[in-house]
Amino acid sequence: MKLNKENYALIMFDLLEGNLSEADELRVMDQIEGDEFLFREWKLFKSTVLIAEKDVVFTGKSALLKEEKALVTLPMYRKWTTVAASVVLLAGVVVFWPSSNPPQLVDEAIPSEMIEDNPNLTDQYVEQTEQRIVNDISENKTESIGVDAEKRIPKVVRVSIPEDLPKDEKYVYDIQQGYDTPEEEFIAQNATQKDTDGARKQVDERLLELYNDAQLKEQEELRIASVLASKKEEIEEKVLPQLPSENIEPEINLEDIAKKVTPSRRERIVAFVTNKPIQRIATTTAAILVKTRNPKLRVKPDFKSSRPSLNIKFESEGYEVIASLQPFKNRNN
Amino acid sequence: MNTAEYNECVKNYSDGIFRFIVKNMRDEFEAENIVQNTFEKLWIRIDKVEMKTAKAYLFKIAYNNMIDVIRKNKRHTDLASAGHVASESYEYDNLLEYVNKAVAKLPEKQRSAIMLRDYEGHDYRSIGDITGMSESQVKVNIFRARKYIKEYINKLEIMML
Repeated sequence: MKLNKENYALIMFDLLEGNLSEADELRVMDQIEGDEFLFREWKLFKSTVLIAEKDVVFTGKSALLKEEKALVTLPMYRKWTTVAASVVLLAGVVVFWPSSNPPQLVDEAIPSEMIEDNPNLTDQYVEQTEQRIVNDISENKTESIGVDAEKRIPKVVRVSIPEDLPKDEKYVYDIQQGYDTPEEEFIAQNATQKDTDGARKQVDERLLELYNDAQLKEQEELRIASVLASKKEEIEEKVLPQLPSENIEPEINLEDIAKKVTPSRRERIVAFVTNKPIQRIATTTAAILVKTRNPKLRVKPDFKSSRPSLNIKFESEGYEVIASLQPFKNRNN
Repeated sequence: MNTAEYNECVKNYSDGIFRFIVKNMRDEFEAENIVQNTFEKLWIRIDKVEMKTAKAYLFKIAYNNMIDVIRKNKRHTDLASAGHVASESYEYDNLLEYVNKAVAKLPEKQRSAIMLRDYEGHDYRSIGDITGMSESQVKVNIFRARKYIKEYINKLEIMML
Protein backbone atom coordinates (compact mmCIF):
# COMPACT_ATOMS: atom_id res chain seq x y z
CA MET A 1 0.00 0.00 0.00
CA LYS A 2 1.76 3.07 -1.28
CA LEU A 3 0.59 6.51 -0.28
CA ASN A 4 0.53 9.27 -2.86
CA LYS A 5 -1.17 12.62 -3.19
CA GLU A 6 -4.25 11.09 -4.76
CA ASN A 7 -4.95 8.38 -2.24
CA TYR A 8 -3.37 9.53 1.02
CA ALA A 9 -6.55 11.12 2.39
CA LEU A 10 -8.59 7.95 2.00
CA ILE A 11 -5.82 5.76 3.39
CA MET A 12 -5.24 8.04 6.34
CA PHE A 13 -8.97 8.07 6.99
CA ASP A 14 -9.03 4.27 7.01
CA LEU A 15 -5.99 4.24 9.27
CA LEU A 16 -7.66 6.61 11.68
CA GLU A 17 -10.89 4.63 11.64
CA GLY A 18 -9.10 1.33 12.20
CA ASN A 19 -10.24 -0.08 8.86
CA LEU A 20 -6.78 -1.29 7.77
CA SER A 21 -5.15 -4.61 8.54
CA GLU A 22 -2.32 -4.52 11.03
CA ALA A 23 0.24 -5.16 8.29
CA ASP A 24 -1.12 -2.27 6.23
CA GLU A 25 -1.17 -0.07 9.30
CA LEU A 26 2.53 -0.65 9.84
CA ARG A 27 3.33 0.03 6.19
CA VAL A 28 1.30 3.25 6.19
CA MET A 29 2.75 4.42 9.49
CA ASP A 30 6.24 3.82 8.17
CA GLN A 31 5.54 5.98 5.14
CA ILE A 32 3.99 8.71 7.23
CA GLU A 33 6.97 8.87 9.54
CA GLY A 34 9.34 9.18 6.60
CA ASP A 35 7.59 11.94 4.68
CA GLU A 36 7.21 15.50 5.86
CA PHE A 37 4.10 16.25 3.83
CA LEU A 38 2.34 13.07 4.87
CA PHE A 39 3.40 13.65 8.47
CA ARG A 40 1.82 17.08 8.48
CA GLU A 41 -1.34 15.83 6.82
CA TRP A 42 -1.57 13.01 9.33
CA LYS A 43 -1.27 15.46 12.21
CA LEU A 44 -4.19 17.40 10.76
CA PHE A 45 -6.20 14.23 10.25
CA LYS A 46 -5.57 13.20 13.83
CA SER A 47 -6.87 16.53 14.97
CA THR A 48 -10.27 15.71 13.52
CA VAL A 49 -10.90 13.10 16.21
CA LEU A 50 -13.43 14.66 18.52
CA ILE A 51 -12.71 14.35 22.21
CA ALA A 52 -15.72 14.12 24.50
CA GLU A 53 -15.78 16.86 27.07
CA LYS A 54 -16.28 14.82 30.20
CA ASP A 55 -17.21 17.87 32.23
CA VAL A 56 -20.36 18.25 30.14
CA VAL A 57 -22.75 16.03 32.09
CA PHE A 58 -26.47 15.66 32.46
CA THR A 59 -27.42 16.96 35.89
CA GLY A 60 -30.96 15.62 36.04
CA LYS A 61 -30.08 11.93 36.45
CA SER A 62 -31.63 11.54 39.87
CA ALA A 63 -35.02 12.68 38.55
CA LEU A 64 -34.92 9.94 35.91
CA LEU A 65 -34.00 7.10 38.22
CA LYS A 66 -36.84 4.79 39.22
CA GLU A 67 -37.27 3.08 42.53
CA GLU A 68 -36.39 -0.56 42.30
CA LYS A 69 -38.87 -3.03 43.74
CA ALA A 70 -37.60 -4.74 46.86
CA LEU A 71 -36.76 -8.30 46.04
CA VAL A 72 -36.56 -10.98 48.70
CA THR A 73 -33.41 -12.82 47.93
CA LEU A 74 -31.91 -15.57 49.95
CA PRO A 75 -28.59 -16.04 48.23
CA MET A 76 -26.47 -17.29 51.11
CA TYR A 77 -28.97 -19.11 53.25
CA ARG A 78 -31.19 -20.66 50.69
CA LYS A 79 -29.92 -24.10 51.45
CA TRP A 80 -30.56 -23.57 55.14
CA THR A 81 -34.06 -22.42 54.36
CA THR A 82 -34.67 -25.57 52.36
CA VAL A 83 -33.43 -27.78 55.17
CA ALA A 84 -35.35 -25.87 57.79
CA ALA A 85 -38.55 -25.90 55.76
CA SER A 86 -38.27 -29.65 55.28
CA VAL A 87 -37.74 -30.20 58.98
CA VAL A 88 -40.64 -27.96 59.89
CA LEU A 89 -42.87 -29.68 57.39
CA LEU A 90 -41.89 -33.07 58.71
CA ALA A 91 -42.51 -31.96 62.27
CA GLY A 92 -45.84 -30.44 61.33
CA VAL A 93 -47.05 -33.60 59.63
CA VAL A 94 -45.94 -35.76 62.54
CA VAL A 95 -47.67 -33.54 65.07
CA PHE A 96 -50.91 -33.14 63.20
CA TRP A 97 -51.18 -36.53 61.60
CA PRO A 98 -54.21 -38.68 62.66
CA SER A 99 -53.23 -40.33 65.85
CA SER A 100 -54.83 -42.72 68.32
CA ASN A 101 -53.34 -40.81 71.20
CA PRO A 102 -56.41 -40.24 73.44
CA PRO A 103 -55.42 -37.03 75.25
CA GLN A 104 -55.35 -35.07 71.96
CA LEU A 105 -58.86 -36.12 71.12
CA VAL A 106 -60.63 -35.98 74.43
CA ASP A 107 -64.02 -34.42 74.11
CA GLU A 108 -64.25 -31.16 76.08
CA ALA A 109 -67.68 -32.15 77.26
CA ILE A 110 -66.18 -34.70 79.63
CA PRO A 111 -64.53 -33.12 82.65
CA SER A 112 -60.89 -34.06 83.01
CA GLU A 113 -61.19 -34.96 86.66
CA MET A 114 -63.87 -37.43 85.72
CA ILE A 115 -61.53 -39.10 83.28
CA GLU A 116 -58.68 -39.17 85.74
CA ASP A 117 -60.87 -40.60 88.47
CA ASN A 118 -62.41 -43.22 86.31
CA PRO A 119 -59.88 -45.27 84.32
CA ASN A 120 -62.61 -47.43 82.85
CA LEU A 121 -64.36 -44.43 81.44
CA THR A 122 -61.08 -43.30 79.82
CA ASP A 123 -60.55 -46.64 78.14
CA GLN A 124 -64.10 -46.70 77.02
CA TYR A 125 -63.91 -43.18 75.66
CA VAL A 126 -60.64 -43.91 73.86
CA GLU A 127 -62.21 -46.90 72.17
CA GLN A 128 -65.16 -44.75 71.05
CA THR A 129 -62.86 -42.02 69.77
CA GLU A 130 -60.69 -44.45 67.87
CA GLN A 131 -63.75 -45.86 66.22
CA ARG A 132 -64.88 -42.34 65.32
CA ILE A 133 -61.49 -41.56 63.72
CA VAL A 134 -61.66 -44.71 61.63
CA ASN A 135 -65.14 -43.74 60.46
CA ASP A 136 -64.08 -40.17 59.74
CA ILE A 137 -61.12 -41.30 57.68
CA SER A 138 -63.20 -43.72 55.70
CA GLU A 139 -65.65 -40.87 54.92
CA ASN A 140 -62.87 -38.34 54.28
CA LYS A 141 -63.97 -36.23 57.24
CA THR A 142 -60.63 -35.06 58.37
CA GLU A 143 -61.41 -31.80 60.15
CA SER A 144 -61.11 -33.31 63.57
CA ILE A 145 -57.59 -34.54 63.00
CA GLY A 146 -55.91 -31.30 62.01
CA VAL A 147 -56.54 -31.31 58.28
CA ASP A 148 -58.01 -28.40 56.31
CA ALA A 149 -61.42 -29.57 55.23
CA GLU A 150 -61.56 -27.57 52.01
CA LYS A 151 -58.08 -27.93 50.70
CA ARG A 152 -57.32 -31.33 52.12
CA ILE A 153 -53.84 -30.13 52.81
CA PRO A 154 -52.29 -30.60 56.22
CA LYS A 155 -51.70 -27.29 57.96
CA VAL A 156 -48.27 -26.44 59.17
CA VAL A 157 -47.96 -23.91 61.91
CA ARG A 158 -45.60 -20.94 61.83
CA VAL A 159 -42.38 -21.92 63.49
CA SER A 160 -40.29 -19.52 65.49
CA ILE A 161 -36.69 -19.07 64.45
CA PRO A 162 -34.20 -20.60 66.88
CA GLU A 163 -32.54 -17.91 68.97
CA ASP A 164 -29.07 -19.35 68.60
CA LEU A 165 -29.00 -18.76 64.85
CA PRO A 166 -26.75 -15.97 63.60
CA LYS A 167 -28.41 -12.57 63.42
CA ASP A 168 -27.55 -12.05 59.80
CA GLU A 169 -29.57 -15.06 58.77
CA LYS A 170 -32.56 -13.04 57.76
CA TYR A 171 -34.58 -15.71 56.17
CA VAL A 172 -38.14 -16.12 57.21
CA TYR A 173 -40.05 -19.26 57.67
CA ASP A 174 -43.35 -18.59 56.11
CA ILE A 175 -44.80 -21.88 55.19
CA GLN A 176 -47.90 -21.39 57.21
CA GLN A 177 -50.11 -22.92 54.58
CA GLY A 178 -48.91 -24.99 51.72
CA TYR A 179 -45.68 -26.68 50.74
CA ASP A 180 -42.25 -25.80 49.51
CA THR A 181 -42.50 -27.81 46.35
CA PRO A 182 -45.32 -29.10 44.15
CA GLU A 183 -44.02 -32.60 44.83
CA GLU A 184 -44.71 -32.28 48.55
CA GLU A 185 -48.16 -30.84 47.91
CA PHE A 186 -49.01 -33.61 45.49
CA ILE A 187 -47.90 -36.29 47.87
CA ALA A 188 -49.73 -34.72 50.77
CA GLN A 189 -52.94 -34.27 48.81
CA ASN A 190 -52.85 -37.85 47.64
CA ALA A 191 -52.02 -38.99 51.08
CA THR A 192 -55.30 -37.69 52.50
CA GLN A 193 -57.26 -39.63 49.96
CA LYS A 194 -55.38 -42.89 50.07
CA ASP A 195 -54.85 -45.40 52.69
CA THR A 196 -53.80 -43.42 55.76
CA ASP A 197 -50.94 -45.62 56.89
CA GLY A 198 -49.50 -45.99 53.42
CA ALA A 199 -49.81 -42.30 52.68
CA ARG A 200 -48.24 -41.33 55.95
CA LYS A 201 -45.35 -43.63 55.28
CA GLN A 202 -44.98 -42.22 51.78
CA VAL A 203 -44.95 -38.65 53.03
CA ASP A 204 -42.47 -39.49 55.75
CA GLU A 205 -40.16 -41.18 53.30
CA ARG A 206 -40.41 -38.38 50.78
CA LEU A 207 -39.78 -35.71 53.38
CA LEU A 208 -36.83 -37.69 54.66
CA GLU A 209 -35.50 -37.87 51.12
CA LEU A 210 -35.91 -34.13 50.72
CA TYR A 211 -34.19 -33.55 54.02
CA ASN A 212 -31.34 -35.86 53.09
CA ASP A 213 -31.03 -34.29 49.64
CA ALA A 214 -30.80 -30.85 51.15
CA GLN A 215 -28.16 -32.03 53.60
CA LEU A 216 -26.17 -33.68 50.84
CA LYS A 217 -26.39 -30.56 48.70
CA GLU A 218 -25.23 -28.45 51.57
CA GLN A 219 -22.31 -30.77 52.29
CA GLU A 220 -21.39 -30.78 48.60
CA GLU A 221 -21.51 -26.98 48.39
CA LEU A 222 -19.35 -26.67 51.48
CA ARG A 223 -16.89 -29.17 50.04
CA ILE A 224 -16.72 -27.30 46.71
CA ALA A 225 -16.32 -23.99 48.52
CA SER A 226 -13.45 -25.33 50.61
CA VAL A 227 -11.73 -26.77 47.52
CA LEU A 228 -12.14 -23.48 45.66
CA ALA A 229 -10.80 -21.53 48.62
CA SER A 230 -7.77 -23.78 48.96
CA LYS A 231 -6.97 -23.61 45.25
CA LYS A 232 -7.91 -19.98 44.66
CA GLU A 233 -4.48 -18.91 43.46
CA GLU A 234 -4.10 -21.88 41.15
CA ILE A 235 -7.54 -21.25 39.62
CA GLU A 236 -6.84 -17.58 39.08
CA GLU A 237 -3.51 -18.31 37.43
CA LYS A 238 -4.31 -21.36 35.32
CA VAL A 239 -8.04 -21.89 34.88
CA LEU A 240 -9.51 -18.40 34.49
CA PRO A 241 -7.29 -17.32 31.60
CA GLN A 242 -8.38 -20.42 29.65
CA LEU A 243 -12.09 -19.89 30.17
CA PRO A 244 -14.17 -18.20 27.47
CA SER A 245 -15.08 -14.70 28.50
CA GLU A 246 -18.77 -15.55 28.96
CA ASN A 247 -17.88 -18.09 31.68
CA ILE A 248 -16.13 -15.52 33.81
CA GLU A 249 -18.09 -13.70 36.46
CA PRO A 250 -18.72 -10.01 35.75
CA GLU A 251 -16.78 -8.83 38.80
CA ILE A 252 -13.59 -10.40 37.42
CA ASN A 253 -14.17 -9.48 33.81
CA LEU A 254 -10.68 -9.70 32.41
CA GLU A 255 -11.68 -7.90 29.21
CA ASP A 256 -12.64 -4.80 31.15
CA ILE A 257 -9.37 -4.88 33.04
CA ALA A 258 -7.45 -5.39 29.82
CA LYS A 259 -9.30 -2.48 28.21
CA LYS A 260 -8.27 -0.20 31.05
CA VAL A 261 -4.63 -1.25 30.82
CA THR A 262 -4.19 -1.80 27.09
CA PRO A 263 -5.20 0.98 24.73
CA SER A 264 -7.49 -0.04 21.91
CA ARG A 265 -6.20 -0.32 18.35
CA ARG A 266 -7.87 2.95 17.47
CA GLU A 267 -6.37 4.68 20.48
CA ARG A 268 -2.93 3.43 19.50
CA ILE A 269 -3.38 4.73 15.97
CA VAL A 270 -4.60 8.10 17.17
CA ALA A 271 -1.66 8.31 19.57
CA PHE A 272 0.74 7.41 16.78
CA VAL A 273 2.87 10.40 15.83
CA THR A 274 2.19 12.60 18.75
CA ASN A 275 2.17 16.34 18.53
CA LYS A 276 5.01 16.36 21.07
CA PRO A 277 7.88 14.38 19.51
CA ILE A 278 10.46 15.28 22.17
CA GLN A 279 8.16 14.06 24.90
CA ARG A 280 7.58 10.88 22.91
CA ILE A 281 11.32 10.24 22.60
CA ALA A 282 11.87 10.93 26.30
CA THR A 283 9.05 8.62 27.37
CA THR A 284 10.20 5.77 25.14
CA THR A 285 13.80 6.17 26.25
CA ALA A 286 12.80 6.17 29.91
CA ALA A 287 10.78 2.99 29.37
CA ILE A 288 13.80 1.28 27.80
CA LEU A 289 16.18 2.43 30.53
CA VAL A 290 13.96 1.03 33.25
CA LYS A 291 14.11 -2.44 31.68
CA THR A 292 17.92 -2.62 31.34
CA ARG A 293 20.82 -3.12 33.74
CA ASN A 294 23.66 -0.65 33.97
CA PRO A 295 22.53 1.37 30.98
CA LYS A 296 24.75 3.93 29.38
CA LEU A 297 23.26 6.50 27.08
CA ARG A 298 25.12 9.02 24.95
CA VAL A 299 23.34 11.62 22.89
CA LYS A 300 25.38 13.55 20.34
CA PRO A 301 23.67 16.26 18.31
CA ASP A 302 25.07 17.16 14.91
CA PHE A 303 23.59 20.40 13.65
CA LYS A 304 26.49 21.47 11.45
CA SER A 305 26.07 19.15 8.51
CA SER A 306 23.60 19.71 5.68
CA ARG A 307 21.26 17.15 7.24
CA PRO A 308 21.21 17.82 10.98
CA SER A 309 20.86 14.74 13.13
CA LEU A 310 20.80 13.42 16.67
CA ASN A 311 23.07 10.43 17.26
CA ILE A 312 22.16 8.16 20.13
CA LYS A 313 24.38 5.42 21.52
CA PHE A 314 22.92 3.03 24.04
CA GLU A 315 24.90 0.39 25.90
CA SER A 316 23.83 -2.29 28.37
CA GLU A 317 25.67 -5.41 29.57
CA GLY A 318 28.00 -5.57 26.61
CA TYR A 319 25.32 -4.85 24.01
CA GLU A 320 25.37 -1.62 22.05
CA VAL A 321 22.77 0.08 19.92
CA ILE A 322 23.45 3.11 17.79
CA ALA A 323 20.68 5.20 16.28
CA SER A 324 20.63 8.40 14.32
CA LEU A 325 17.52 10.57 14.26
CA GLN A 326 17.19 12.72 11.21
CA PRO A 327 14.44 14.85 9.78
CA PHE A 328 12.17 13.31 7.17
CA LYS A 329 13.85 11.29 4.48
CA ASN A 330 11.54 12.79 1.90
CA ARG A 331 11.41 16.57 2.11
CA ASN A 332 10.58 17.24 -1.53
CA ASN A 333 6.81 16.66 -1.36
CA MET B 1 -35.42 -4.88 30.71
CA ASN B 2 -36.17 -4.41 34.38
CA THR B 3 -36.04 -1.33 36.62
CA ALA B 4 -32.46 -1.97 37.69
CA GLU B 5 -31.33 -2.17 34.08
CA TYR B 6 -33.27 0.99 33.26
CA ASN B 7 -31.47 2.80 36.08
CA GLU B 8 -28.17 1.46 34.78
CA CYS B 9 -29.01 2.97 31.39
CA VAL B 10 -29.69 6.34 33.03
CA LYS B 11 -26.34 6.23 34.79
CA ASN B 12 -24.36 5.00 31.79
CA TYR B 13 -25.90 6.79 28.83
CA SER B 14 -27.59 10.01 29.97
CA ASP B 15 -24.31 11.97 29.94
CA GLY B 16 -23.39 10.71 26.48
CA ILE B 17 -26.81 11.52 25.06
CA PHE B 18 -26.76 14.93 26.68
CA ARG B 19 -23.29 15.69 25.25
CA PHE B 20 -24.36 14.50 21.82
CA ILE B 21 -27.47 16.69 21.80
CA VAL B 22 -25.96 19.74 23.40
CA LYS B 23 -23.01 19.69 20.97
CA ASN B 24 -25.40 19.33 18.08
CA MET B 25 -27.90 21.96 19.14
CA ARG B 26 -25.79 24.21 21.34
CA ASP B 27 -28.78 24.58 23.62
CA GLU B 28 -28.50 23.03 27.07
CA PHE B 29 -32.14 23.59 27.94
CA GLU B 30 -33.38 21.80 24.83
CA ALA B 31 -30.80 19.06 25.36
CA GLU B 32 -32.05 18.42 28.90
CA ASN B 33 -35.63 18.20 27.64
CA ILE B 34 -34.63 15.74 24.96
CA VAL B 35 -32.74 13.53 27.43
CA GLN B 36 -35.75 13.49 29.73
CA ASN B 37 -38.15 12.68 26.89
CA THR B 38 -35.83 9.95 25.69
CA PHE B 39 -35.74 8.17 29.02
CA GLU B 40 -39.46 8.62 29.50
CA LYS B 41 -40.00 6.79 26.23
CA LEU B 42 -37.64 4.05 27.33
CA TRP B 43 -39.53 3.69 30.60
CA ILE B 44 -42.84 3.36 28.76
CA ARG B 45 -41.39 0.62 26.54
CA ILE B 46 -39.27 -0.97 29.22
CA ASP B 47 -40.76 -4.42 28.64
CA LYS B 48 -39.99 -4.34 24.94
CA VAL B 49 -36.42 -3.04 24.95
CA GLU B 50 -33.51 -5.41 25.55
CA MET B 51 -30.57 -4.23 27.60
CA LYS B 52 -28.10 -5.05 24.83
CA THR B 53 -29.88 -2.78 22.34
CA ALA B 54 -30.75 -0.07 24.85
CA LYS B 55 -27.85 2.24 24.00
CA ALA B 56 -28.61 2.35 20.27
CA TYR B 57 -32.34 2.65 21.05
CA LEU B 58 -31.78 5.62 23.36
CA PHE B 59 -29.55 7.43 20.88
CA LYS B 60 -32.04 6.81 18.10
CA ILE B 61 -34.90 8.24 20.16
CA ALA B 62 -32.78 11.21 21.18
CA TYR B 63 -31.62 11.79 17.59
CA ASN B 64 -35.17 11.71 16.20
CA ASN B 65 -36.33 13.98 18.97
CA MET B 66 -33.51 16.39 18.22
CA ILE B 67 -34.35 16.44 14.49
CA ASP B 68 -37.97 17.24 15.33
CA VAL B 69 -36.93 20.11 17.57
CA ILE B 70 -34.46 21.44 14.99
CA ARG B 71 -37.13 21.39 12.29
CA LYS B 72 -39.59 23.09 14.59
CA ASN B 73 -37.11 25.82 15.48
CA LYS B 74 -35.51 26.03 12.05
CA ARG B 75 -36.39 29.62 11.39
CA HIS B 76 -34.99 30.75 14.74
CA THR B 77 -31.85 28.70 14.25
CA ASP B 78 -31.24 30.14 10.80
CA LEU B 79 -31.59 33.67 12.06
CA ALA B 80 -29.28 33.01 14.99
CA SER B 81 -26.62 31.28 12.89
CA ALA B 82 -26.70 34.12 10.34
CA GLY B 83 -25.67 36.44 13.13
CA HIS B 84 -22.86 34.13 14.16
CA VAL B 85 -21.45 33.97 10.63
CA ALA B 86 -21.37 37.71 10.37
CA SER B 87 -19.42 38.07 13.57
CA GLU B 88 -17.00 35.22 12.90
CA SER B 89 -13.46 35.90 13.91
CA TYR B 90 -10.30 33.94 14.50
CA GLU B 91 -10.13 34.55 18.17
CA TYR B 92 -9.68 30.90 19.10
CA ASP B 93 -6.39 30.11 20.65
CA ASN B 94 -6.34 26.36 20.75
CA LEU B 95 -7.01 23.38 18.55
CA LEU B 96 -10.07 22.18 20.42
CA GLU B 97 -11.87 25.40 19.80
CA TYR B 98 -10.98 25.28 16.10
CA VAL B 99 -12.36 21.79 15.92
CA ASN B 100 -15.54 22.71 17.76
CA LYS B 101 -16.05 25.61 15.43
CA ALA B 102 -15.57 23.38 12.42
CA VAL B 103 -17.94 20.74 13.80
CA ALA B 104 -20.60 23.36 14.35
CA LYS B 105 -20.40 24.22 10.66
CA LEU B 106 -20.89 20.67 9.45
CA PRO B 107 -24.17 19.57 7.89
CA GLU B 108 -26.35 17.82 10.44
CA LYS B 109 -25.83 14.27 9.10
CA GLN B 110 -22.06 14.60 9.06
CA ARG B 111 -22.01 16.19 12.48
CA SER B 112 -24.16 13.50 14.03
CA ALA B 113 -22.21 10.69 12.38
CA ILE B 114 -18.80 11.92 13.52
CA MET B 115 -20.06 12.70 17.02
CA LEU B 116 -21.58 9.27 17.46
CA ARG B 117 -18.37 7.75 16.15
CA ASP B 118 -15.93 9.70 18.28
CA TYR B 119 -17.88 10.51 21.41
CA GLU B 120 -19.62 7.20 21.89
CA GLY B 121 -17.56 4.80 19.78
CA HIS B 122 -20.52 3.51 17.77
CA ASP B 123 -19.68 1.40 14.73
CA TYR B 124 -20.96 2.29 11.26
CA ARG B 125 -23.94 -0.04 11.48
CA SER B 126 -25.06 1.34 14.81
CA ILE B 127 -24.72 4.91 13.56
CA GLY B 128 -26.75 3.90 10.52
CA ASP B 129 -29.49 2.49 12.75
CA ILE B 130 -29.63 5.69 14.76
CA THR B 131 -29.53 8.17 11.89
CA GLY B 132 -31.37 6.15 9.26
CA MET B 133 -28.38 5.95 6.90
CA SER B 134 -26.73 2.94 5.29
CA GLU B 135 -23.29 1.87 6.50
CA SER B 136 -21.59 3.22 3.39
CA GLN B 137 -23.43 6.53 3.75
CA VAL B 138 -22.23 6.71 7.34
CA LYS B 139 -18.64 6.10 6.27
CA VAL B 140 -18.85 8.72 3.52
CA ASN B 141 -20.36 11.25 5.91
CA ILE B 142 -17.66 10.67 8.50
CA PHE B 143 -14.97 10.95 5.83
CA ARG B 144 -16.42 14.22 4.55
CA ALA B 145 -16.70 15.52 8.09
CA ARG B 146 -13.06 14.72 8.87
CA LYS B 147 -11.90 16.20 5.61
CA TYR B 148 -13.86 19.39 6.25
CA ILE B 149 -12.53 19.74 9.80
CA LYS B 150 -8.99 19.07 8.56
CA GLU B 151 -9.27 21.71 5.86
CA TYR B 152 -10.84 24.16 8.28
CA ILE B 153 -8.00 23.79 10.77
CA ASN B 154 -5.43 23.93 8.00
CA LYS B 155 -6.91 27.12 6.58
CA LEU B 156 -6.97 28.81 9.97
CA GLU B 157 -3.41 27.76 10.75
CA ILE B 158 -2.21 29.20 7.44
CA MET B 159 -4.06 32.45 8.08
CA MET B 160 -2.59 32.69 11.56
CA LEU B 161 0.98 32.30 10.32
